[in-house]
Amino acid sequence: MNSALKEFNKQKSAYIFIAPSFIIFTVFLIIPVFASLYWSLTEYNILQPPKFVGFQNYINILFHDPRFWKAMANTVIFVAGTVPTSIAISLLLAIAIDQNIRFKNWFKTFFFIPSITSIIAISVIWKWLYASGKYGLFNHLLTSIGLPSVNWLGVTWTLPSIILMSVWGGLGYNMILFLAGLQGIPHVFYEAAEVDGASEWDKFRNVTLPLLRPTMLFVTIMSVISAFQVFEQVYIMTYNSEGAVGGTLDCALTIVAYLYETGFQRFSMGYASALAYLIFFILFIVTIVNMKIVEKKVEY
Amino acid sequence: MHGRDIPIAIAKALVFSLMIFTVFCLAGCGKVPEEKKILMWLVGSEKQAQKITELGLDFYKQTGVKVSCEAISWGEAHSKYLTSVVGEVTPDIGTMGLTWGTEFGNLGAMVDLNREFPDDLSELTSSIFPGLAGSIRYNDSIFAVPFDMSEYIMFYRCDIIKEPPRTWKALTSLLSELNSSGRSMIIDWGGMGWIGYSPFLWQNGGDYYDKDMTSATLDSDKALEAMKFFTSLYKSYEVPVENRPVEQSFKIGEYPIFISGNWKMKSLSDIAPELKGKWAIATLPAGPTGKKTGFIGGRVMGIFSLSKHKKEAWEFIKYLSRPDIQIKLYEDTLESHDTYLPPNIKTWNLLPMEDSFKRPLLDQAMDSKGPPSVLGWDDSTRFIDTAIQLVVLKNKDAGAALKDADNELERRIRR
Repeated sequence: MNSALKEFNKQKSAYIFIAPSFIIFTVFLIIPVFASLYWSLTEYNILQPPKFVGFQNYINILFHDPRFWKAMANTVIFVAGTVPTSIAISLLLAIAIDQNIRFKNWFKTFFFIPSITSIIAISVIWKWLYASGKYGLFNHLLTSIGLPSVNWLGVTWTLPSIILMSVWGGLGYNMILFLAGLQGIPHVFYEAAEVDGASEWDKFRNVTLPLLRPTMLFVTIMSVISAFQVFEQVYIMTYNSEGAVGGTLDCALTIVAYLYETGFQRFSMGYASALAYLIFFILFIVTIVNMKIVEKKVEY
Repeated sequence: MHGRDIPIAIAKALVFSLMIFTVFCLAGCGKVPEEKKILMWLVGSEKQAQKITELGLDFYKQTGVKVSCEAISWGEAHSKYLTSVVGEVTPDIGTMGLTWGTEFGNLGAMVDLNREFPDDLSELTSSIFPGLAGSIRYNDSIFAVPFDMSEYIMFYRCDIIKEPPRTWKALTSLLSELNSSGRSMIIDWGGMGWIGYSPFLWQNGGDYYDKDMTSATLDSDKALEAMKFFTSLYKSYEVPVENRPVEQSFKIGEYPIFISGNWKMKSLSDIAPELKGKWAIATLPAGPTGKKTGFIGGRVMGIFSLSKHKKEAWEFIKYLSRPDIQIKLYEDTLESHDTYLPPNIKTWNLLPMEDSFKRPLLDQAMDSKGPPSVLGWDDSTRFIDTAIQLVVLKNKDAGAALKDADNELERRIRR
């Protein structure tokens, strides 16, 4: 006991410096995380004290809530639509820029600009581009080459439209990560491959890809997690005059948008907390599976 | 002094200065006699809040009560009010969405004006448009009174359409004519949703609930007929199901007629000033009952139960309801991008507005209804939206869709 106190005295200033961020972290993260775990087992509308209901919220979500499954399906489509496309295109861009081309830095900046732009601003502008009939830029281009106009933000197209925009918006960030990864591959491997008479494709398949796996793992996991939590784009593109989010007939309702509606529009905090924990568990499992798949093949 | 002691010295200095500061503050509060001060939250623009604070200076001269008004945005307004109620940090006066007064009032967070100031209130509500008056009354309680209003109105290009349609029949024959040249109409405010459907429901003699608000009536024949007519506009007369830029399409004449809120008058003259004189407004086409009932919304203001100056707050609400003050608010919005229509019929007689606009607006406002005053209404609306969207987009049978919505409404009244 005495020695512990002595130890504390010795490190006093260190603890004092740690204290502010530790307190903030505890108050705004640790406590809410456990509080919402408890609330997920209650019925709670902010106004009345929470009422314990056991696993009822989870049962209702999983077995009696078609909107949850609709949101889940939309989210999976969004993840499947954005992550592989974005990784493929940004890898391609990274490789292209990694060659000794002119205006290299200019291209890097050019593709990275969307990443430093607020996704809200991007969504607002793209909403104009997507305007229906003959009014948006995209439809103007389509009709001017004789194609029929597309109802970009209608029931069928809203989700693909959001996917398209999100892929565009996320390219730069992944590209920079891949570029860093590419630059970390020692040149000797390529030289050795060339000596063996490997073609460009062989070099890509057998040198670049395997050695890029750590970057690939990181990019995949981060992309899946952030794609799973897509919200801002959906909010801006689909909110209507009454503040409802998700679009006509929930065509673009994603899981976090649904969480927002339940928690912050209907104030069913218990239900929303249960949703949040389900999202957490799903992401946890997806990440583990992801790591197992990619990790196995990391070889040096 | 060791390096390690420096943070402690800083912390000590901080604590000490904080103590001194607190002591000064307490001493300061003790000396000055407390001035009566009202805080008002306004859901809306910063500019309008400033104007109200300005009007508050005039009120201060008359009464010695200070008023300050803060703007809060629509997006966060509902949760901000709710959390302020829970945290017991409500303002004195809140300006909010039409149905919220009843909602917060039933939580005990707002003063029942009908009980607290019955005489003043009945005088004030007697000159409120009847549609608004119906929406603020919940059983015998009134928790908030109208601050302004927004109403449904029909806009048309008078150089393309000679006579605005006066009946449903005239509307569909006009639309057929427009359709033949690839044109149609837009239902802008609340299209493909309950707000868009409501006027047609009411014009056909139907309603969402029965008279005592105890049972949903969306399964009635009148609701069904109205639904069939409303959805046929989308399915047979090319009213677009998705949002169109209203002003632009009006300008190029693709949609030379649209139904929206009165605020479009402002945006039309801002976005398409060259159209001046080429467009006009008219009341909605009347349904089979001969009624042209429109939808009316708006903001209401009420007093929170925790306010320490309820009487003074009520005086300020009365002040803001005075015709001369409402005209000042109206004139101010002509310069900014806000829209403000006075909810007080008496004010309209004095309103400096072109007669060609004033007449239809007044005429429509006299025959308009607001959202039903039922707890659980806000939770129910999305089922009506879904019913409409299923009928239009997925060809669901209108009767079946309404039956489903009716069940959901029914289930939510009793909560």
